[in-house]
Order: sequence, then C-alpha cells, then structure tokens
Amino acid sequence: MTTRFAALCLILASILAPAARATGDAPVRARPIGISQYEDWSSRGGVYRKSLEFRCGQGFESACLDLCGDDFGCSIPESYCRDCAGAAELRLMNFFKFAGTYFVNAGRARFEEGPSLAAVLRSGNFVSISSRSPYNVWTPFDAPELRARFQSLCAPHPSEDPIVIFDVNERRQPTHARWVLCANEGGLVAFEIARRAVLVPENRVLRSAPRSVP
Amino acid sequence: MQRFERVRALALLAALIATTTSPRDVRAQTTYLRTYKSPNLNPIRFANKAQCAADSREAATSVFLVVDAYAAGKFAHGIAKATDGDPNAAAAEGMRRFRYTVGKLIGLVSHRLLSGEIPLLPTNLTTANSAREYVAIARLRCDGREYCPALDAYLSRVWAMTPGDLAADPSFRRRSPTGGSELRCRYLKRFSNLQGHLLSGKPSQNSLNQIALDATRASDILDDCWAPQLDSRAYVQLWEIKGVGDAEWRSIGFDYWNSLRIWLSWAWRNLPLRLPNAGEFSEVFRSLPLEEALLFVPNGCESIVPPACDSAHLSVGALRELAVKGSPDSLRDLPNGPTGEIIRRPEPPVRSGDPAGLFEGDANTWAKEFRGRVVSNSLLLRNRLNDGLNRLSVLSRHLPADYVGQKIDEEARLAVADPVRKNQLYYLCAEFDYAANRSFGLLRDDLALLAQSRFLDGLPTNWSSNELNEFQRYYEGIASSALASCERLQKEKFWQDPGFVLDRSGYLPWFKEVLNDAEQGVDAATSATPGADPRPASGRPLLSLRTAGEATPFCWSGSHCARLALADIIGIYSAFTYADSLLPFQAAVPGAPIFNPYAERTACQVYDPWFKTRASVVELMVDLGNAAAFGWNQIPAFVTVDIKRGQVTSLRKLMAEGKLKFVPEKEKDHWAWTAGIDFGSLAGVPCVLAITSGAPALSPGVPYVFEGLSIGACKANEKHRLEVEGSRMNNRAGGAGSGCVACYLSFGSAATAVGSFAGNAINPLKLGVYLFRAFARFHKSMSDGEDVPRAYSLDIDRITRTYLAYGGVPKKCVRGLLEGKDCEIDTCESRAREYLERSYPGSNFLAVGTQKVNNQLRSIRFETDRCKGGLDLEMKTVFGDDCELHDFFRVSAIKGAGACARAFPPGRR
Repeated sequence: MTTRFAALCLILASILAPAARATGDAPVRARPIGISQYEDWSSRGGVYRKSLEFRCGQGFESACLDLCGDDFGCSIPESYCRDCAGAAELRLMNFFKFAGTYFVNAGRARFEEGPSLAAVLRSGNFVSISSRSPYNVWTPFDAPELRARFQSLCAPHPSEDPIVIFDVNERRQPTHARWVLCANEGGLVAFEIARRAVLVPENRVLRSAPRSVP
Repeated sequence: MQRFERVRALALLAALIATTTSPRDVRAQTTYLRTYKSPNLNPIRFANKAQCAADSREAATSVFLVVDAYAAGKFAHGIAKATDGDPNAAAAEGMRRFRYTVGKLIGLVSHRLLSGEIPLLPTNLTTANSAREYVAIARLRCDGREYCPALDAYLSRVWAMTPGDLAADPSFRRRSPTGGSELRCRYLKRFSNLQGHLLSGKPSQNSLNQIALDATRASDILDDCWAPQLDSRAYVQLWEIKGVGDAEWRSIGFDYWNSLRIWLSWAWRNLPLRLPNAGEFSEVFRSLPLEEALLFVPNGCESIVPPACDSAHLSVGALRELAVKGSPDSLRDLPNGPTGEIIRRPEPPVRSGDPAGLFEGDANTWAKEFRGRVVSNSLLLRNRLNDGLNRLSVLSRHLPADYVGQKIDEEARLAVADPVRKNQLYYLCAEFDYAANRSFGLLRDDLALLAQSRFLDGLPTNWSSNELNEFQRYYEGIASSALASCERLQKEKFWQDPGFVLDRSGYLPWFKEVLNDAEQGVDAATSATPGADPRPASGRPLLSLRTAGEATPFCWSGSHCARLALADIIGIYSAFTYADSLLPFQAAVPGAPIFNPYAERTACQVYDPWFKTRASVVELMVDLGNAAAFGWNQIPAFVTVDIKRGQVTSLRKLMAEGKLKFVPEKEKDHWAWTAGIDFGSLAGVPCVLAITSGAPALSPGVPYVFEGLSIGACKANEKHRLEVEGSRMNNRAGGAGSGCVACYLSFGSAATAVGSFAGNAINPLKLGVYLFRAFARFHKSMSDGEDVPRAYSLDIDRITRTYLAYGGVPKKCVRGLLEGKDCEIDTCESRAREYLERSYPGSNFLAVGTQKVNNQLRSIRFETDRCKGGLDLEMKTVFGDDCELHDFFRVSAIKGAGACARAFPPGRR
C-alpha cells in the first residue's frame, strides 16, 4: 500500500515539477522566434508594477544580453510617469491622437552621440507606451485604428506590438517621443520618431526645416 | 401667568411639530439628552454679506474635500484590460483604494505637520522669516514658478529629518506639538442643516431646531471615512481642525493649508514608503494626477489660500460658475475674463438660497455633476490650447505673414468675378477688425498680455513661452497684412456690389459669440450658402498635410488661413484666461473658495466690508458736531453727510513675475453734504428745506418722519421741487437750481418751534433732539442687516442639548444660543420629561414650569400633544434637589388637568 502510494507521489511529482518551475517568479514563456517584447503591468508581490519585457529567441541572445544581461530575456522595471494616468498630460494626448499622422518613423535610431538604448532603459529614465497602454484615455483600449497607427511607426520592420519610448524630465514627465521599438522574427530594431513636415502644394520652397519633435 | 405660559407652550409645541419634517419623525425621535452622541463637529458660523467678506481673510478650520476618483477607476480598468483581469471589478477596487490612500495620506501629512515633525511652509514668501531655505528655493530657484526639481529634493531631505535635526535648525518653523490637535475626517452623505450656514446669514429659532434635529440623526448625514461600502466614484469629505487655539490658528492657519497642499503633492510621488492603504495600486497610483482629482473648498466664508487680486484667485469664478446646478456645459469661445464679472456684479447675493443645488439629493450626485462639468470644460480648454498651438506652429513655419497678405489680395482679385466668394473676405475683415482694432481695445490688449505671460511654462507640454511669443508676433504680422488689405478693399467699396449677399453663418464660432452678445446674433436655423464655405469651387488648398498617401487640407485660402491663425490665438487666450482654475497643473493640491464670491471681490476692493461701519462712525461724528454747533441755540440749521463708497471702475492688468495681477482703479468715495435750514421756527410752517449737493438719494437718516408726511424723493439730476402746503404735496417741475431740493417734515422742527416759544438762549429740548437723532441714525445704520459685519458662531452640541432638554429650542434660549451662551436647563424638568416620553411613547411633552413644594418635592407642569389641558408631575428627589443622578428621584404622582385627566388618571405612576 505504502509503496504504491509512494510511487503515485513520485509520478505526480514528476508531472507537477515542471509546472512548479513554470510558476516561479519570473514569467516564463516559450522561447520566441526572433525577439518579442511587451509592456507588462502585472501584479508582482501583491502590487501592480510596470515593466518592459523582452524575450530573445535562438540567434538573438546578444540583444537580450545587451539590454538586460541575460541571454534569454528580462524585465526592465519602469517607474511612475507623472500625471500620465488621466487626461492631464498634453504630450501623451498629442501622441495617442497623432501617432502615425504627425508623429512618424524617421529612420533608424543612431546612438553615436549620447547613451545607447540599453543604457537609457537600464537607467530607468524613460516611460513607454503601446497601443494597449492604460495611460491612453483618448481612444478605446487597443482599438484597431490605434493599433494600426502604432504599427505604421514600424513600417520598415513590421511589429505586432510596437513600444514607444519617451524621454522624461526631472519630474518624470514624458517630454519627447524618441524611439519606437519594433520586434519581430528578424530581431529588435529601434527607430527615431519625428514630427511630420507638411506638404505645400504650391511648390513653395520651405523656408526652414520642419521641427523634428514638438 | 399660568394661562399665558400655557398658551405660549402650546404655541411652541405647535410650531415645533409644524417645523419638523413630519409628525412621524418627531415621534420616532427617541434620543435623550444622556444618550445623545455628539457628531463632534466644529462650531458653524453664520455670517452676513459683510462678515462673509471680512471672514475671507481668515484661515478656515473646516473644509470640504471634493474628490473625483474617475481617473483612478479608469486607470485601474485599463490595467485590468492589459493584464486580462476583470476591468469592472478592478475599476471599483481602484476607486475604493484611491479613497483610502488619499485619506490616509492627508492624515499622515497633517499629523506630521501638527506634531512638528515637518516644518510649515510659509505662504507669504516676502514676509516669511522662517524656513529660509524653502523660501530661497521657492523664490530664487523656482523663480516664481510653482515647481522646480530643487523643491522636490528639499522636501525629500526634510521629510527624512528627525525631530532632533529639525529642532537644531533654527531656520525651520515648526508647530510646537500640543496634545489633541488633529485634522479629522468625515464622509459627507448629504448636505444638511449642519451646513445651514451656507444657505443663510442669520439663524432663526427654526434653523436652530433644524440643526439640532440633524445633529441627533447625524449618522444619516455623516459617515466614517474608512467605511468600505461608501460611494468612491465622486464624493465629499469634511475635514476639520481640532485642538488648535484661536490665537495660534490666526498665526499658522494659512501656512498649515499651504504646507498640507504642497506636502501632499510631494508625498504622492515621492513618499519613501508605499502609498498607504492603496493595495495593489500603491506603486502605479503615483502616475495619477492627484491635483486634478482633489479640490479643497472652505466650509463657510473663510479661505484656504489668502485672497489676492490676481488671475489665479479671480479665475476661481469659473469654478464657482460650474458649481451652480444647470450651468452651461461649455465655456465661451471668447471669455469675458474674470475681471469683467466682478466689476459687473460687485455685490452678488450670498447666503440666500442654494444656487449650487447642494442641498438637493446627496453629496455624491452633486460632486459627480460638478466634476463632470469641470472635466468636460477642462478637456475642451486643453484641446483648444493644444490644437491652437499645433496649428499655429505649422502656419507660422510655412505661411509667412506677407505671403498670406499676397494670397488675400489674389483672392480679392478673383472674387471680383465671383461675388459669392466676397463673403470669405468679409468674414476676414470683420473678425480681424474686431480683434485688432484699437477701439475694441480690450481684446487687443488682452492678446498682447499673452506674450508676457509665462503660463505655458507650468503646463505639461513642450511648448514654451518663447514659442508662444513667436506665434504672437506671427499673428500680429498676419493681422497687419490682413487689415491693410481690408482697408484697401473698403476704400474700393469692394462689398458694395449688387451681386454680393452677406451670409453670416460662415463666421467662426468665436465671432458668432461676439455677435450674439451684441444681439446681432446669427440665427442658428439659417442654412449656409456656398459663400459661407471656405472651400472654393475648384482649386487646391493653400496648405495641406499628407498622411499615408492622402492629403488632408489644412487651410484653403489666404483669408481662411489668416482667420484660423486668429481663431487659434483666441483659443490659446481662452485657455490662458481659465488656466488657473481649469488647467490646474500646479505642484500643490488646489483650494478654492467656491462658497464665497466675496473672497476675490474684497481682495480687489470691489467690496469693502468695513465701509458701512466707518461711514456710520463718520456720520455720527458729523451729527454730534451738529448737536454741538446748532443744538443748543436758536440757529435753525443743520448739516449732515451721507457717504457713498466710490466704485471700482476697472482692474488694470499688470504682469508681475509672469503672473497676472490686477490693480483696482477706484473712484473716490462720494460725500454728499446736506445743509438744511430749518424754517420751522421762523416761518411757522412745519417744513424744512434742504439742499443736497447732487446726492443720488436723500439721506435716509436725515430728519425722521414724525407727523405722517412722507419724505420727498430726491433723485440725481432730477430737478423737482416739492412744496408742502399744510398736508398736501405738490410735485412741481422746477427749472433753476443746481442741486436737488426736497421738503419734508422735520423731527427737529417741532423741538425748534418749542424752543423758539420758550425764548431761551439755550434750548435743551432741541439739543436733546439733535443728540437723539444722531444716535438714532447711527443705530439704524449699524443695524444694517447686510453691510455691517455680523456673525453667529453656533455650538452644535449646545443647541442640541437645549433642544433635547426642552423638546425644542425655546424662544427664551434663542438669543443666548446665538451669542454662544448655554441655555439653562433644569435637569429635573429634563429628566421628568424623559420619564414621561418613555412611559408614553409616541407623545411629546414640554415642561412649562416648576413649583417647589419643599427641597425635595416639586411639581412640574407639562403640556402634551396627547391631550389638552396638561398635567402635573410630582417628583421627589432623594439627595437634595438634584436630579443629575438618574435613579435618585421618584415620580410620586401624575395628575392630568382638563381633558388630560382621563389620559392621566390621578394616582398613576
């Protein structure tokens, strides 16, 4: 009787053990193809915390190593975004309303001057948004139209879930939308975001270059 | 005497029953004096208009906190969606947590302030002589702006200091902790008679009864702030300071509120610990704009922020307007500006009625509707601001002013062949003429102020004041091009063309508002003709925006682009006008005196609460001078003065330190002298002729009517002469005469007449009359119900105890209670009454009088609504004549009288 019971326990343990491993603290997902990214708001330790999650598939481990020091993936914590959770932040409002129209992809991000993307993310001096952001109170959550506009920001390197990175000032207010991170099977690419120039149909020569970001 | 008492008691009883809400309510009241649980509220202060104005300079001890948890709920909702949770449950939980954490945080900060663990941050930075480092940061490093990073760093450092460190640093001003001071929270279910001082300026016997009744059922009105099941979406809490003496509060009150508001803003984002009681939201809530969700409102006439005559304080008028029930849902396109409002209505009614609809329904509904209006207008303003700045940025970069001018001229040339298009140029010229024209100075000067203000610097936007200046200059360039073209077109009689028909429906909304104000409104039903449409029949827009292959038109023609630039400047201007109240991007939780329209009026000197008092004293002096000069002799003359306060005619705008301040321009006070000749003694006619120096109205205090003739009215610039012959009054239009002349019967003339008969040199009767007149006039003046400050501070518990002891507040107690005195309660009468009401539940008894037979035996007379006739209750006390101790008296007999004999047969106990 006891031996049968012990055997049953062993069998159960061997079935459950992997599951136990899987329900550890770090959320584990299947290794992706390429790189995957998402904004994570889940509750950890009983408290909702915001972070950026990256997972790197076969052949892209260096990207994750660079970003987070782990070749599999990581979680980059993000602190609060001042006055963002409501209708107060005009800069966020502008972005959600005009992403894809006034705010467009302006080419690959260059990191020669200033800190690299990894450095910025690790420093925590940024806020991030996506089409699923709870900071968005102006358009419906992840509405197809909004999603399409966000995805248009990643036109050269199409991504399911683009993430836009904002600079923050010393008050942790978002100041400028700087980069959009586009992740797919081909890896992660960061593009600059610029504010759109207008077209003047009368062929008038523009007197000055359009402003890059508001 | 007994009968009189009886009648009086019955009348009181009837009045009491009539005034309480329903008979059932009265019978249901079973609270007795000893079981009364005090709601423990601060005294409520009834104040008339002048006192309310004077009180605005004092710091409030009792405030409402209006909370809107919508953003918290929506945010929690979004987080649940992003984490595949239950959005509706999360929203409800998020709002409840928001209520808890806000309350706990306020309690925490307040506790540290009151116990001296953190310093007070002075309100007045120029006169502050403590917290020097804070003052230095606020003034120099923050440069007059609300916030700078150095302030956060300073506050973080100070928060972590121990009381020992603070004590060692002399630059900190802390409150010396005294036991028992706290800021106590109550959740307001509805506004009630416990806030009766918001409705009227003088309490009556009825109001005292209502207050007491509500105090006995305070649990229907107030609740515990931490109860879980309360409505958390939009609510009102009552926060009261307890245990701080009057003298100390006068010294630290404003600094306390200033500190609380600033520390709260700091703590929400920077508290080293987690936000208290916020549950799973204790980290993410820091992203909520706390200052948008909270508003402190003083409970009464006092203030939270010392009133001043600047745009920040005047813009509270917009909030006050939105607090009124049924107020229009959206603000004007072209605001009049808050100064116009207070000059146009210098003395609005206060404490008369309930325009805000506070007392209808529950407090949650009021809060929700109020916040709904504030939020929708705030969003409207934000959009106007944002769209205006975006569009001007594009226009100014790509359409230089002179280019626009060229395009306008081109358009004019083309319109000659197509007169319908002339409408577009008409709109251009009408709108620019209004905005830029010297004769409509106000708008032009106001727009010029935009350039000097730094209001953009405080907003969460990347636009800066420099850019706004650029846009302002661009607009002015456009305006001068447009106006030059318009002048030319006017000279060429461009619109005097038979083929041209003006279609006013094409004006932009802001200009339609202007026309409506001037009652030249455009009928909304008018359908637009093609001329009203800026889009030409053919041709491409002047400027367009390409998006994903499509080109969206930005503006169509020179005139259209110019008009849009003007509309954008006006949109930015309207945001600027309301910025302080509806775009509160401050670094402190806002506080606004919504229930006191005199706060800013007093600060801007549009109303002076002490004027009437001062004027009465001056007039008394003059009258006494009269008595001294003329009262003792035969000279039939008198001089009186009537002082009218000079009005504030305008508020001159002054930009100082990037803030808009107003300086009142005031007329001089007007002293109307009346010199009178009392003909009574000379001509034998009981009449007095008085010539006043153009006073607008006859001094009411000058000689009283005595024999039944009415005083002749005396209006400014009216040249009437009234002649009295005997008892007839003839109104005859007079021609000559520089002043106004009236004739009336004088109180004094009778005395003078007597005096003249007596033939004495000194006329004591006349002197007496003059003196009496002086003081009578002074007394009448000072009894003014509205303009002489008067307040009544009522202690709720005192009133309620009196109410419970007597079954109603007796008339004899009203005066004492209003003056803050206890009304003497005979405890034996009170106990006997309780005994009767317990023995005969459902009936009311009122003690009318006590007759003591000896030291221990007494007979108390009661009236009751159970029957007519009353009853006598015989009571024996055990220890002396004291009824304090509940069980040590005995009711020995109850004898009914009259019809009550049957209801209370003798011998029954």
